[in-house]
Amino acid sequence: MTGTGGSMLAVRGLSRRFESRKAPRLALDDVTFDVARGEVLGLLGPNGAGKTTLVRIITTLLLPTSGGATVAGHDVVRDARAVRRTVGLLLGGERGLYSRLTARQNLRYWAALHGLDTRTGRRRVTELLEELGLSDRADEQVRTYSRGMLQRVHLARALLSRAELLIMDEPTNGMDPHAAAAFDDLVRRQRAEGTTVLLATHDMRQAQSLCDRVALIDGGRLRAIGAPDTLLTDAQLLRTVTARGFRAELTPAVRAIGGVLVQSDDDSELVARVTDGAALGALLNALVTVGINEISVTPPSLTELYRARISDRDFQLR
Amino acid sequence: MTTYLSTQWRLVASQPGLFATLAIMPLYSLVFYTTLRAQDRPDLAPIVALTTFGMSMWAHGMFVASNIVENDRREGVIQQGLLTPAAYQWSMVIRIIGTTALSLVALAEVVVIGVLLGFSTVPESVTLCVLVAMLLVLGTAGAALLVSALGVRVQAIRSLQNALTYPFYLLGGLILPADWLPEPVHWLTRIFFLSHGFRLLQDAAAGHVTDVTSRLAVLLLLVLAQLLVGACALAVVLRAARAGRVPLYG
Repeated sequence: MTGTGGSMLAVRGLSRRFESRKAPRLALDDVTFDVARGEVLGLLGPNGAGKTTLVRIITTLLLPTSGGATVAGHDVVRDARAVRRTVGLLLGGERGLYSRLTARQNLRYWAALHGLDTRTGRRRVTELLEELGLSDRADEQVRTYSRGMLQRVHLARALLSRAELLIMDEPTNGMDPHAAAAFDDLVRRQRAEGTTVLLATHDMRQAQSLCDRVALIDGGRLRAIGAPDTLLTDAQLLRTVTARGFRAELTPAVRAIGGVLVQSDDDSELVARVTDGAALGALLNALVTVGINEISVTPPSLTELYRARISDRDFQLR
Repeated sequence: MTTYLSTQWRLVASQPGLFATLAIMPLYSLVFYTTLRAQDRPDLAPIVALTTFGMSMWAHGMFVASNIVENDRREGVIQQGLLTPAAYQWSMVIRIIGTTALSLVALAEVVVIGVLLGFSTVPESVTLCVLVAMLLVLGTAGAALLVSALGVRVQAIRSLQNALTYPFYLLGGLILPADWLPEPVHWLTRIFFLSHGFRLLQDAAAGHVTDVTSRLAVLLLLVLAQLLVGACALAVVLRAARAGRVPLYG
Protein backbone atom coordinates (compact mmCIF):
# COMPACT_ATOMS: atom_id res chain seq x y z
CA MET A 1 0.00 0.00 0.00
CA THR A 2 1.08 3.59 -0.43
CA GLY A 3 1.02 6.38 2.09
CA THR A 4 -1.27 9.36 2.11
CA GLY A 5 0.34 12.56 0.86
CA GLY A 6 0.54 14.61 4.07
CA SER A 7 0.40 11.79 6.54
CA MET A 8 3.38 10.38 8.38
CA LEU A 9 1.49 7.28 9.38
CA ALA A 10 -1.37 5.62 7.51
CA VAL A 11 -3.03 2.54 8.98
CA ARG A 12 -5.53 0.71 6.79
CA GLY A 13 -7.79 -2.17 7.83
CA LEU A 14 -5.12 -3.50 10.14
CA SER A 15 -5.86 -6.79 11.87
CA ARG A 16 -3.72 -9.14 13.89
CA ARG A 17 -4.79 -12.55 15.11
CA PHE A 18 -2.74 -14.57 17.59
CA GLU A 19 -3.19 -18.30 17.26
CA SER A 20 -3.20 -20.36 20.40
CA ARG A 21 -4.11 -23.89 21.42
CA LYS A 22 -7.06 -22.71 23.50
CA ALA A 23 -8.60 -20.16 21.15
CA PRO A 24 -7.31 -17.67 18.60
CA ARG A 25 -7.31 -14.09 19.84
CA LEU A 26 -8.04 -11.11 17.63
CA ALA A 27 -5.79 -8.44 19.08
CA LEU A 28 -6.50 -5.88 16.35
CA ASP A 29 -9.62 -5.78 14.26
CA ASP A 30 -9.80 -3.68 11.08
CA VAL A 31 -8.14 -0.55 12.44
CA THR A 32 -7.85 2.46 10.12
CA PHE A 33 -6.49 5.95 10.85
CA ASP A 34 -3.91 8.52 9.76
CA VAL A 35 -1.43 10.64 11.65
CA ALA A 36 -0.28 13.86 10.00
CA ARG A 37 3.34 14.99 9.99
CA GLY A 38 4.15 16.89 13.17
CA GLU A 39 1.00 15.69 14.91
CA VAL A 40 0.85 14.16 18.40
CA LEU A 41 -1.70 11.35 18.51
CA GLY A 42 -2.64 9.70 21.79
CA LEU A 43 -3.61 6.04 21.87
CA LEU A 44 -5.92 5.38 24.78
CA GLY A 45 -7.40 2.10 25.86
CA PRO A 46 -7.44 -0.46 28.64
CA ASN A 47 -4.82 -3.16 29.16
CA GLY A 48 -5.13 -5.74 26.40
CA ALA A 49 -6.95 -3.31 24.10
CA GLY A 50 -4.45 -3.82 21.28
CA LYS A 51 -2.32 -0.68 21.67
CA THR A 52 1.00 -2.50 22.05
CA THR A 53 0.17 -4.85 19.17
CA LEU A 54 -0.55 -1.82 17.00
CA VAL A 55 2.71 -0.18 18.06
CA ARG A 56 4.68 -3.35 17.34
CA ILE A 57 3.21 -3.68 13.85
CA ILE A 58 3.86 -0.04 12.98
CA THR A 59 7.47 -0.42 14.11
CA THR A 60 7.90 -3.64 12.05
CA LEU A 61 8.41 -5.77 15.17
CA LEU A 62 5.35 -7.83 14.33
CA LEU A 63 3.68 -8.77 11.06
CA PRO A 64 -0.02 -8.01 10.55
CA THR A 65 -2.48 -10.78 9.73
CA SER A 66 -4.28 -8.54 7.24
CA GLY A 67 -4.42 -4.91 6.25
CA GLY A 68 -1.33 -2.75 6.42
CA ALA A 69 0.36 0.45 7.40
CA THR A 70 2.83 2.89 5.95
CA VAL A 71 5.28 5.16 7.70
CA ALA A 72 6.40 8.14 5.64
CA GLY A 73 5.09 6.24 2.64
CA HIS A 74 7.07 3.06 3.41
CA ASP A 75 5.14 -0.16 3.84
CA VAL A 76 5.77 -1.74 7.24
CA VAL A 77 5.97 -5.23 5.72
CA ARG A 78 7.58 -4.77 2.31
CA ASP A 79 9.82 -1.84 3.13
CA ALA A 80 10.56 -2.57 6.76
CA ARG A 81 14.14 -1.37 6.56
CA ALA A 82 13.11 2.14 5.50
CA VAL A 83 10.42 2.19 8.19
CA ARG A 84 12.94 1.30 10.88
CA ARG A 85 15.14 4.21 9.83
CA THR A 86 12.18 6.52 10.33
CA VAL A 87 10.86 5.45 13.72
CA GLY A 88 12.12 5.72 17.27
CA LEU A 89 10.48 3.40 19.76
CA LEU A 90 10.08 3.58 23.51
CA LEU A 91 8.56 0.42 24.93
CA GLY A 92 9.49 1.13 28.51
CA GLY A 93 9.21 -1.23 31.43
CA GLU A 94 11.94 -2.68 33.57
CA ARG A 95 13.44 -4.78 30.79
CA GLY A 96 14.94 -4.11 27.41
CA LEU A 97 18.31 -2.86 28.66
CA TYR A 98 21.46 -4.69 29.70
CA SER A 99 21.00 -4.52 33.45
CA ARG A 100 24.72 -5.03 34.18
CA LEU A 101 25.81 -2.18 31.93
CA THR A 102 25.62 1.50 32.74
CA ALA A 103 23.18 3.83 31.02
CA ARG A 104 26.04 5.28 28.97
CA GLN A 105 27.29 1.85 27.91
CA ASN A 106 23.77 0.72 26.99
CA LEU A 107 23.13 3.82 24.93
CA ARG A 108 26.49 3.61 23.14
CA TYR A 109 25.70 0.06 22.11
CA TRP A 110 22.30 1.09 20.76
CA ALA A 111 23.82 4.09 19.04
CA ALA A 112 26.14 1.70 17.21
CA LEU A 113 23.21 -0.51 16.26
CA HIS A 114 21.44 2.56 14.85
CA GLY A 115 24.44 3.17 12.63
CA LEU A 116 25.94 6.17 14.44
CA ASP A 117 29.71 6.19 14.18
CA THR A 118 31.63 6.04 17.46
CA ARG A 119 32.30 9.78 17.76
CA THR A 120 28.77 10.85 16.80
CA GLY A 121 27.30 8.16 19.04
CA ARG A 122 29.30 9.30 22.06
CA ARG A 123 28.35 12.92 21.51
CA ARG A 124 24.66 12.10 21.04
CA VAL A 125 24.61 9.87 24.12
CA THR A 126 26.20 12.59 26.25
CA GLU A 127 23.66 15.15 24.95
CA LEU A 128 20.72 12.90 25.76
CA LEU A 129 22.01 11.91 29.20
CA GLU A 130 22.32 15.62 29.96
CA GLU A 131 18.92 16.49 28.51
CA LEU A 132 17.17 13.73 30.44
CA GLY A 133 18.89 14.47 33.74
CA LEU A 134 20.83 11.23 33.86
CA SER A 135 24.38 12.59 33.70
CA ASP A 136 25.07 12.20 37.41
CA ARG A 137 24.30 8.48 37.39
CA ALA A 138 25.13 7.71 33.77
CA ASP A 139 28.03 5.49 34.79
CA GLU A 140 26.12 3.29 37.22
CA GLN A 141 24.66 -0.07 36.25
CA VAL A 142 21.04 0.37 35.19
CA ARG A 143 19.97 -2.46 37.51
CA THR A 144 20.41 0.05 40.34
CA TYR A 145 18.00 2.51 38.69
CA SER A 146 14.46 3.25 39.76
CA ARG A 147 11.65 2.57 37.30
CA GLY A 148 11.40 6.24 36.44
CA MET A 149 15.11 6.44 35.65
CA LEU A 150 14.88 3.34 33.50
CA GLN A 151 12.09 5.03 31.58
CA ARG A 152 14.42 7.93 30.90
CA VAL A 153 17.08 5.59 29.53
CA HIS A 154 14.43 4.01 27.30
CA LEU A 155 13.45 7.49 26.20
CA ALA A 156 17.06 8.40 25.45
CA ARG A 157 17.37 5.31 23.28
CA ALA A 158 14.23 6.23 21.35
CA LEU A 159 15.70 9.68 20.69
CA LEU A 160 19.15 8.46 19.62
CA SER A 161 18.49 8.38 15.90
CA ARG A 162 16.48 11.63 15.67
CA ALA A 163 13.52 9.70 14.29
CA GLU A 164 10.78 11.39 12.26
CA LEU A 165 8.13 9.31 14.01
CA LEU A 166 8.46 8.74 17.75
CA ILE A 167 6.34 5.93 19.12
CA MET A 168 6.07 5.75 22.88
CA ASP A 169 4.24 3.16 24.94
CA GLU A 170 3.54 4.35 28.49
CA PRO A 171 6.52 6.73 28.49
CA THR A 172 5.96 8.29 31.91
CA ASN A 173 5.15 5.07 33.70
CA GLY A 174 7.02 5.24 37.01
CA MET A 175 8.22 8.82 36.58
CA ASP A 176 7.75 11.29 39.41
CA PRO A 177 5.57 14.38 38.68
CA HIS A 178 8.55 16.62 37.93
CA ALA A 179 10.05 14.11 35.52
CA ALA A 180 6.64 13.58 33.90
CA ALA A 181 6.26 17.34 33.42
CA ALA A 182 9.75 17.48 31.91
CA PHE A 183 8.72 14.67 29.58
CA ASP A 184 5.70 16.71 28.47
CA ASP A 185 8.02 19.61 27.66
CA LEU A 186 10.28 17.29 25.72
CA VAL A 187 7.37 16.06 23.61
CA ARG A 188 6.34 19.64 22.91
CA ARG A 189 9.89 20.43 21.80
CA GLN A 190 9.91 17.38 19.56
CA ARG A 191 6.63 18.47 18.00
CA ALA A 192 7.97 21.99 17.52
CA GLU A 193 10.89 20.45 15.62
CA GLY A 194 8.43 18.66 13.34
CA THR A 195 8.60 15.19 14.88
CA THR A 196 5.41 13.14 14.72
CA VAL A 197 4.53 11.42 18.00
CA LEU A 198 2.34 8.41 18.67
CA LEU A 199 1.76 8.19 22.40
CA ALA A 200 0.11 5.16 23.98
CA THR A 201 -0.82 6.09 27.52
CA HIS A 202 -3.20 5.59 30.42
CA ASP A 203 -2.46 9.09 31.65
CA MET A 204 -5.51 11.10 30.59
CA ARG A 205 -4.08 14.38 31.86
CA GLN A 206 -1.04 13.87 29.71
CA ALA A 207 -3.11 12.88 26.70
CA GLN A 208 -5.37 15.90 27.04
CA SER A 209 -2.52 18.36 27.46
CA LEU A 210 -0.15 16.94 24.83
CA CYS A 211 -2.17 15.37 22.07
CA ASP A 212 -3.59 17.08 19.03
CA ARG A 213 -5.91 14.09 18.66
CA VAL A 214 -6.62 10.95 20.63
CA ALA A 215 -7.74 7.52 19.49
CA LEU A 216 -9.73 5.27 21.79
CA ILE A 217 -9.05 1.58 21.27
CA ASP A 218 -10.89 -1.26 22.95
CA GLY A 219 -11.21 -4.91 22.10
CA GLY A 220 -8.81 -4.40 19.19
CA ARG A 221 -11.15 -1.90 17.52
CA LEU A 222 -10.89 1.83 17.09
CA ARG A 223 -13.83 3.25 19.05
CA ALA A 224 -13.27 6.96 18.46
CA ILE A 225 -10.63 9.32 17.10
CA GLY A 226 -10.45 13.09 17.07
CA ALA A 227 -9.28 16.20 18.88
CA PRO A 228 -10.01 15.94 22.61
CA ASP A 229 -12.29 19.01 22.56
CA THR A 230 -14.23 17.71 19.55
CA LEU A 231 -14.66 14.27 21.07
CA LEU A 232 -15.82 15.79 24.33
CA THR A 233 -18.31 18.04 22.57
CA ASP A 234 -19.58 15.20 20.40
CA ALA A 235 -19.94 12.95 23.41
CA GLN A 236 -22.22 15.55 25.08
CA LEU A 237 -20.70 14.81 28.44
CA LEU A 238 -21.99 16.72 31.42
CA ARG A 239 -20.24 19.68 32.97
CA THR A 240 -19.91 19.72 36.74
CA VAL A 241 -20.94 22.72 38.84
CA THR A 242 -19.58 23.04 42.37
CA ALA A 243 -20.97 25.77 44.65
CA ARG A 244 -19.45 26.56 48.04
CA GLY A 245 -21.55 28.14 50.82
CA PHE A 246 -24.60 26.20 49.67
CA ARG A 247 -27.50 25.67 52.03
CA ALA A 248 -29.47 22.42 52.05
CA GLU A 249 -32.84 24.16 52.07
CA LEU A 250 -32.08 25.40 48.55
CA THR A 251 -31.87 21.88 47.13
CA PRO A 252 -35.54 21.55 46.05
CA ALA A 253 -35.28 24.74 44.02
CA VAL A 254 -32.13 23.50 42.31
CA ARG A 255 -33.67 20.12 41.58
CA ALA A 256 -36.59 21.89 39.95
CA ILE A 257 -34.34 23.32 37.21
CA GLY A 258 -34.58 21.20 34.08
CA GLY A 259 -31.31 19.56 33.00
CA VAL A 260 -29.68 19.77 36.43
CA LEU A 261 -28.69 16.55 38.19
CA VAL A 262 -27.74 17.04 41.83
CA GLN A 263 -24.94 14.69 42.78
CA SER A 264 -24.45 15.75 46.37
CA ASP A 265 -25.59 18.57 48.60
CA ASP A 266 -25.04 19.51 52.18
CA ASP A 267 -24.87 22.64 54.23
CA SER A 268 -21.60 23.73 52.70
CA GLU A 269 -21.36 22.49 49.12
CA LEU A 270 -23.45 21.54 46.12
CA VAL A 271 -22.14 19.32 43.34
CA ALA A 272 -24.43 19.10 40.33
CA ARG A 273 -24.07 18.15 36.68
CA VAL A 274 -25.73 20.04 33.86
CA THR A 275 -26.81 18.62 30.53
CA ASP A 276 -26.61 21.79 28.40
CA GLY A 277 -25.90 25.51 28.31
CA ALA A 278 -29.48 26.50 29.19
CA ALA A 279 -29.45 24.37 32.31
CA LEU A 280 -26.05 25.79 33.25
CA GLY A 281 -27.30 29.36 32.83
CA ALA A 282 -30.41 28.69 34.88
CA LEU A 283 -28.45 27.06 37.68
CA LEU A 284 -25.82 29.82 37.84
CA ASN A 285 -28.56 32.43 37.87
CA ALA A 286 -30.37 30.68 40.70
CA LEU A 287 -27.21 30.37 42.79
CA VAL A 288 -26.11 33.97 42.30
CA THR A 289 -29.62 35.19 43.11
CA VAL A 290 -29.43 33.62 46.58
CA GLY A 291 -26.02 35.14 47.20
CA ILE A 292 -23.74 32.21 46.40
CA ASN A 293 -20.72 33.50 44.52
CA GLU A 294 -18.07 30.83 45.00
CA ILE A 295 -18.94 28.67 42.04
CA SER A 296 -16.76 26.57 39.75
CA VAL A 297 -17.75 24.95 36.48
CA THR A 298 -15.60 21.99 35.38
CA PRO A 299 -15.77 20.89 31.77
CA PRO A 300 -15.81 17.16 31.08
CA SER A 301 -12.37 15.55 30.83
CA LEU A 302 -10.86 12.78 28.77
CA THR A 303 -11.18 10.55 31.81
CA GLU A 304 -14.96 10.93 31.66
CA LEU A 305 -14.95 10.40 27.92
CA TYR A 306 -12.82 7.29 28.38
CA ARG A 307 -15.14 5.92 31.02
CA ALA A 308 -18.13 6.69 28.85
CA ARG A 309 -16.74 5.04 25.71
CA ILE A 310 -14.75 2.14 27.12
CA SER A 311 -16.79 -0.45 28.92
CA ASP A 312 -15.98 -0.87 32.62
CA ARG A 313 -14.52 -4.27 33.40
CA ASP A 314 -12.79 -3.57 36.71
CA PHE A 315 -9.66 -5.74 36.75
CA GLN A 316 -10.82 -8.05 33.98
CA LEU A 317 -8.87 -8.26 30.77
CA ARG A 318 -10.76 -8.60 27.56
CA MET B 1 32.52 -3.39 15.71
CA THR B 2 34.68 -2.22 18.61
CA THR B 3 31.53 -1.03 20.39
CA TYR B 4 29.97 -4.49 20.03
CA LEU B 5 33.14 -6.14 21.32
CA SER B 6 33.56 -3.74 24.23
CA THR B 7 29.89 -4.16 25.14
CA GLN B 8 30.27 -7.93 25.17
CA TRP B 9 33.48 -7.78 27.14
CA ARG B 10 31.75 -5.66 29.80
CA LEU B 11 28.84 -8.07 29.94
CA VAL B 12 31.13 -11.06 30.37
CA ALA B 13 33.45 -9.27 32.79
CA SER B 14 30.51 -8.32 35.00
CA GLN B 15 29.85 -12.03 35.62
CA PRO B 16 33.14 -13.67 36.66
CA GLY B 17 31.37 -17.03 36.79
CA LEU B 18 31.40 -17.05 33.00
CA PHE B 19 35.16 -17.54 33.09
CA ALA B 20 34.78 -20.77 35.03
CA THR B 21 35.33 -23.02 32.03
CA LEU B 22 38.46 -21.17 31.00
CA ALA B 23 39.75 -21.10 34.56
CA ILE B 24 39.08 -24.74 35.38
CA MET B 25 39.97 -26.52 32.16
CA PRO B 26 43.68 -25.60 32.20
CA LEU B 27 43.80 -27.12 35.68
CA TYR B 28 43.02 -30.41 33.99
CA SER B 29 46.31 -30.00 32.15
CA LEU B 30 48.09 -30.18 35.50
CA VAL B 31 46.48 -33.57 36.11
CA PHE B 32 47.37 -34.76 32.62
CA TYR B 33 50.96 -33.48 32.80
CA THR B 34 51.42 -35.14 36.18
CA THR B 35 50.16 -38.40 34.73
CA LEU B 36 52.56 -38.10 31.80
CA ARG B 37 55.43 -37.57 34.19
CA ALA B 38 54.40 -40.55 36.27
CA GLN B 39 54.19 -42.70 33.14
CA ASP B 40 57.40 -41.21 31.72
CA ARG B 41 55.70 -40.12 28.45
CA PRO B 42 56.84 -36.49 27.94
CA ASP B 43 56.40 -36.99 24.19
CA LEU B 44 52.61 -36.78 24.69
CA ALA B 45 52.76 -33.33 26.33
CA PRO B 46 51.95 -31.31 23.16
CA ILE B 47 48.90 -33.48 22.53
CA VAL B 48 47.74 -33.00 26.10
CA ALA B 49 48.16 -29.24 25.77
CA LEU B 50 46.18 -29.09 22.54
CA THR B 51 43.47 -31.40 23.83
CA THR B 52 42.99 -29.25 26.89
CA PHE B 53 42.82 -26.14 24.75
CA GLY B 54 40.32 -27.78 22.36
CA MET B 55 38.07 -28.89 25.19
CA SER B 56 38.23 -25.44 26.85
CA MET B 57 37.41 -23.71 23.59
CA TRP B 58 34.47 -25.94 22.75
CA ALA B 59 33.04 -25.93 26.29
CA HIS B 60 33.38 -22.15 26.50
CA GLY B 61 31.60 -21.84 23.15
CA MET B 62 28.76 -24.14 24.16
CA PHE B 63 28.24 -22.88 27.69
CA VAL B 64 29.05 -19.18 27.49
CA ALA B 65 28.99 -17.90 23.91
CA SER B 66 25.89 -19.88 23.03
CA ASN B 67 23.99 -18.23 25.88
CA ILE B 68 24.37 -14.72 24.52
CA VAL B 69 21.14 -14.68 22.51
CA GLU B 70 19.22 -16.34 25.33
CA ASN B 71 20.58 -13.75 27.76
CA ASP B 72 19.41 -11.00 25.44
CA ARG B 73 15.99 -12.60 25.36
CA ARG B 74 15.90 -12.78 29.16
CA GLU B 75 16.84 -9.12 29.39
CA GLY B 76 14.07 -8.26 26.92
CA VAL B 77 16.62 -6.79 24.53
CA ILE B 78 15.78 -8.85 21.43
CA GLN B 79 12.60 -6.90 20.81
CA GLN B 80 14.54 -3.65 20.57
CA GLY B 81 17.15 -5.43 18.52
CA LEU B 82 14.52 -6.24 15.92
CA LEU B 83 14.28 -2.53 15.21
CA THR B 84 17.77 -2.78 13.73
CA PRO B 85 17.74 -6.46 12.72
CA ALA B 86 20.71 -6.49 10.37
CA ALA B 87 22.91 -4.54 12.75
CA TYR B 88 21.65 -6.55 15.70
CA GLN B 89 22.40 -9.83 13.98
CA TRP B 90 25.84 -8.62 13.00
CA SER B 91 26.47 -7.50 16.56
CA MET B 92 25.48 -10.98 17.76
CA VAL B 93 27.95 -12.63 15.39
CA ILE B 94 30.72 -10.28 16.54
CA ARG B 95 29.85 -10.71 20.20
CA ILE B 96 29.77 -14.50 19.98
CA ILE B 97 33.06 -14.62 18.07
CA GLY B 98 34.60 -12.22 20.60
CA THR B 99 33.45 -14.33 23.52
CA THR B 100 34.66 -17.56 21.95
CA ALA B 101 38.00 -15.93 21.17
CA LEU B 102 38.63 -15.55 24.89
CA SER B 103 39.37 -19.27 24.85
CA LEU B 104 42.64 -18.54 23.00
CA VAL B 105 43.91 -17.57 26.43
CA ALA B 106 43.57 -21.25 27.39
CA LEU B 107 45.99 -22.20 24.61
CA ALA B 108 48.63 -19.89 26.01
CA GLU B 109 47.90 -21.12 29.53
CA VAL B 110 48.37 -24.83 28.80
CA VAL B 111 51.53 -24.22 26.80
CA VAL B 112 53.03 -22.08 29.56
CA ILE B 113 52.01 -24.54 32.29
CA GLY B 114 53.64 -27.32 30.29
CA VAL B 115 56.85 -25.35 29.87
CA LEU B 116 56.89 -24.48 33.57
CA LEU B 117 56.59 -28.20 34.37
CA GLY B 118 59.52 -28.93 32.11
CA PHE B 119 57.67 -30.30 29.10
CA SER B 120 58.28 -29.36 25.52
CA THR B 121 54.88 -27.89 24.72
CA VAL B 122 55.88 -24.94 22.53
CA PRO B 123 54.63 -25.80 19.01
CA GLU B 124 57.18 -26.35 16.27
CA SER B 125 55.22 -24.05 13.96
CA VAL B 126 53.87 -21.32 16.20
CA THR B 127 52.42 -19.16 13.41
CA LEU B 128 50.53 -22.01 11.81
CA CYS B 129 49.28 -23.18 15.19
CA VAL B 130 47.96 -19.73 16.06
CA LEU B 131 46.33 -19.41 12.64
CA VAL B 132 44.61 -22.79 12.94
CA ALA B 133 43.57 -22.03 16.52
CA MET B 134 41.98 -18.78 15.34
CA LEU B 135 40.10 -20.62 12.61
CA LEU B 136 38.94 -23.17 15.17
CA VAL B 137 37.68 -20.32 17.35
CA LEU B 138 35.69 -18.97 14.40
CA GLY B 139 34.21 -22.39 13.69
CA THR B 140 33.32 -22.89 17.34
CA ALA B 141 31.67 -19.46 17.33
CA GLY B 142 29.63 -20.63 14.34
CA ALA B 143 28.53 -23.69 16.29
CA ALA B 144 27.72 -21.47 19.29
CA LEU B 145 25.62 -19.24 17.02
CA LEU B 146 23.68 -22.29 15.85
CA VAL B 147 23.11 -23.56 19.39
CA SER B 148 22.28 -20.03 20.47
CA ALA B 149 19.57 -19.68 17.82
CA LEU B 150 18.20 -23.16 18.43
CA GLY B 151 18.12 -22.43 22.15
CA VAL B 152 15.75 -19.51 21.63
CA ARG B 153 13.57 -21.41 19.17
CA VAL B 154 13.58 -24.81 20.88
CA GLN B 155 13.77 -24.42 24.64
CA ALA B 156 14.46 -28.15 25.10
CA ILE B 157 17.96 -27.73 23.69
CA ARG B 158 19.01 -25.96 26.88
CA SER B 159 18.46 -29.14 28.83
CA LEU B 160 20.61 -30.99 26.25
CA GLN B 161 23.44 -28.48 26.48
CA ASN B 162 25.60 -30.79 28.58
CA ALA B 163 25.32 -33.38 25.85
CA LEU B 164 26.94 -30.97 23.42
CA THR B 165 30.42 -31.52 24.79
CA TYR B 166 31.77 -35.10 24.94
CA PRO B 167 30.19 -36.37 21.71
CA PHE B 168 31.83 -33.43 19.94
CA TYR B 169 35.16 -33.95 21.69
CA LEU B 170 35.07 -37.44 20.19
CA LEU B 171 33.84 -36.30 16.81
CA GLY B 172 36.48 -33.57 16.72
CA GLY B 173 39.24 -36.01 17.53
CA LEU B 174 40.13 -34.26 20.76
CA ILE B 175 40.08 -37.35 22.95
CA LEU B 176 40.80 -40.09 20.42
CA PRO B 177 41.99 -39.86 16.83
CA ALA B 178 38.87 -39.35 14.71
CA ASP B 179 39.96 -42.34 12.59
CA TRP B 180 39.35 -44.61 15.56
CA LEU B 181 35.63 -43.82 15.52
CA PRO B 182 33.25 -46.38 14.00
CA GLU B 183 33.04 -46.39 10.24
CA PRO B 184 29.43 -45.07 10.05
CA VAL B 185 30.44 -41.74 11.60
CA HIS B 186 33.54 -41.18 9.50
CA TRP B 187 31.62 -39.02 7.03
CA LEU B 188 30.65 -36.74 9.93
CA THR B 189 34.26 -36.24 10.94
CA ARG B 190 35.11 -35.38 7.34
CA ILE B 191 32.65 -32.46 7.25
CA PHE B 192 33.23 -31.33 10.83
CA PHE B 193 35.62 -28.38 10.99
CA LEU B 194 36.87 -29.37 14.45
CA SER B 195 38.23 -32.76 13.38
CA HIS B 196 39.98 -31.24 10.34
CA GLY B 197 41.32 -28.32 12.31
CA PHE B 198 42.42 -30.30 15.32
CA ARG B 199 44.37 -32.76 13.19
CA LEU B 200 46.07 -29.85 11.45
CA LEU B 201 46.77 -28.22 14.81
CA GLN B 202 48.41 -31.39 16.13
CA ASP B 203 50.51 -31.73 12.98
CA ALA B 204 51.56 -28.08 13.14
CA ALA B 205 52.54 -28.49 16.79
CA ALA B 206 54.61 -31.55 15.90
CA GLY B 207 56.18 -29.72 12.97
CA HIS B 208 55.36 -32.21 10.24
CA VAL B 209 52.57 -30.76 8.13
CA THR B 210 52.05 -31.69 4.52
CA ASP B 211 49.71 -29.95 2.07
CA VAL B 212 49.39 -26.91 4.33
CA THR B 213 47.65 -24.75 1.75
CA SER B 214 45.01 -27.26 0.73
CA ARG B 215 44.33 -28.31 4.32
CA LEU B 216 44.03 -24.70 5.42
CA ALA B 217 41.68 -24.03 2.50
CA VAL B 218 39.44 -26.96 3.45
CA LEU B 219 39.42 -25.85 7.07
CA LEU B 220 38.59 -22.29 6.07
CA LEU B 221 35.68 -23.50 3.93
CA LEU B 222 34.30 -25.70 6.70
CA VAL B 223 34.64 -22.87 9.24
CA LEU B 224 32.90 -20.40 6.93
CA ALA B 225 30.13 -22.93 6.30
CA GLN B 226 29.68 -23.41 10.04
CA LEU B 227 29.54 -19.64 10.58
CA LEU B 228 27.05 -19.29 7.73
CA VAL B 229 24.80 -22.00 9.14
CA GLY B 230 24.89 -20.34 12.56
CA ALA B 231 24.16 -16.87 11.19
CA CYS B 232 21.31 -18.21 9.04
CA ALA B 233 19.80 -19.98 12.05
CA LEU B 234 19.90 -16.73 13.99
CA ALA B 235 18.28 -14.87 11.08
CA VAL B 236 15.49 -17.47 11.01
CA VAL B 237 14.90 -17.03 14.74
CA LEU B 238 14.77 -13.25 14.45
CA ARG B 239 12.29 -13.53 11.55
CA ALA B 240 10.17 -15.93 13.62
CA ALA B 241 10.22 -13.44 16.47
CA ARG B 242 8.94 -10.75 14.13
CA ALA B 243 6.16 -13.06 12.98
CA GLY B 244 5.16 -13.51 16.62
CA ARG B 245 6.16 -17.18 16.75
CA VAL B 246 8.95 -16.77 19.29
CA PRO B 247 8.35 -15.32 22.74
CA LEU B 248 10.57 -12.29 23.10
CA TYR B 249 10.88 -12.56 26.86
CA GLY B 250 12.29 -15.41 28.87
